[in-house]
Amino acid sequence: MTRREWMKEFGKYIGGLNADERDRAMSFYAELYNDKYDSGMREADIVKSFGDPREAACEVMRDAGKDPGEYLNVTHHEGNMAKPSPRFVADDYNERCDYVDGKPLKARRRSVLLKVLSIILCIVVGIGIFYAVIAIINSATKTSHVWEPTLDSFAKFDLDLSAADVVVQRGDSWKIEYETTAFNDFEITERTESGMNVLDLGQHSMPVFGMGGVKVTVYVPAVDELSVDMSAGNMIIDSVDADVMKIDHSAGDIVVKNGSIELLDVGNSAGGVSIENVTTRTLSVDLSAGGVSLENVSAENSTFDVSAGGVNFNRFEVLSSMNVMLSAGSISGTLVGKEENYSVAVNLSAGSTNLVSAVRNTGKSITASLSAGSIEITFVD
Amino acid sequence: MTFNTMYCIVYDIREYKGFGSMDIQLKKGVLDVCVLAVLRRGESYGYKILQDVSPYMKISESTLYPVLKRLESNGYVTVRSEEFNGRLRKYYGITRKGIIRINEFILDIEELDKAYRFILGRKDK
Repeated sequence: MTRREWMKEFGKYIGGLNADERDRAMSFYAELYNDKYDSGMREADIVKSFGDPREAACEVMRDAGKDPGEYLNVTHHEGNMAKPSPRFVADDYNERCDYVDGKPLKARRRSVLLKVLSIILCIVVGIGIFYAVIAIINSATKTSHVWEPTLDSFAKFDLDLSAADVVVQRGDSWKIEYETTAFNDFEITERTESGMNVLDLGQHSMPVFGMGGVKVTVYVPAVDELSVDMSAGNMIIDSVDADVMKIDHSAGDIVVKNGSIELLDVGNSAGGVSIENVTTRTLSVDLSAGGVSLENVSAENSTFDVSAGGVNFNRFEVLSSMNVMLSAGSISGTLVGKEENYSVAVNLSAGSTNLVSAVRNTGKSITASLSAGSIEITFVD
Repeated sequence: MTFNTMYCIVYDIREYKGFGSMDIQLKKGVLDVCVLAVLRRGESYGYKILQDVSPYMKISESTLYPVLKRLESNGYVTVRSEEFNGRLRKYYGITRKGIIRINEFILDIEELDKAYRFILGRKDK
């Protein structure tokens, strides 16, 4: 060990003292070193005569009124002196005497943990404050608008929204009620495309800042085609009849209720899909994660493609065919009809089922493919 | 007193060679007076004190530091810094109070000596 190393170690272990005491102890050893060196001793011998820097530090710390238990830190035991029992070495060495950067190791661990926790807390609080400020700005700048069209009717209605809570419902005439904020605005255009009137509702929403929970209500008297492309927010479509209804959503819940829709195509990445009191010819639900719930729905042909989640039926009437493909989750609930009227095909890799595969020449079929989970279907009148 | 502290004291006393299991306070007192006795001959500095005391008592750098600090805070010695070989060196000088302390100690030891002889079963000369 060199002089520098020894002094560095020693300084490290007495780091817990105040600056004056630390300087005093350091200069005491520096002076001794110089005097010994001037008297002809070699560096290595001087450092050796100083002994373990930890022991020297312990002596200083104890003299400064620190816990005498620190003394157990002394690691060299000369002569026939009794050594501390292993229990003591373990307990006291680790908890009381192991000084790193001038603080007992345990205290240092605590302070590191405290630092990490306070950083996490700062981040969480920071994000919270950020969103709170955005929310305040959004609510302070929120204004309501009503838009009415110049054209009488529209065959096609396109909604292209990034973040909003949307309600599309039947009305006597076309009307859009919407809110804007400092970070949110809507663009409504009406156009005629190959002899067909089209209404576009688009949204300019700044990412992150746009999260203001703005509400949009669209009143629709009648429409042939409704197309929705939405990123975030909840959507309710109520009492709207359409030939074609296509909903492509990324995150949020979708509710379609009370209507007659020839082709209903719902896609969602994360969130639930709920369909109530709807009559349809072709129903297609494509969901990555979330639950599908059908209540009093009838469909000639239906397809459910769900990666993870559950498919629940409450009085779902399969007029011709149903195909459920689920990776993990459960298929459950009630179907209107009798099981013997359907040709049933069940492919289950792991799990339980009360539906049993059976070939019946009735022209109606139910197919259920499930990788892992359970199938529990009851037929009701 | 916790078991740990008790253990420390026992460990401390046993560790001190040359005094067997002598009381820790007595050990400190003897060391203090030894250093004072050195300073009675005149001002001195750390390394010199170590050299002067070590033939009579086991003393190390780490034990000298608290002794000097204690003597200073009790007013038994004064400290001044003086340049030597282009660096500062601390010189310790005994005070009147320090000299009184030596004398007190001598009286104490004489008393102890009486008791010591009594314990050994020897008569006073």
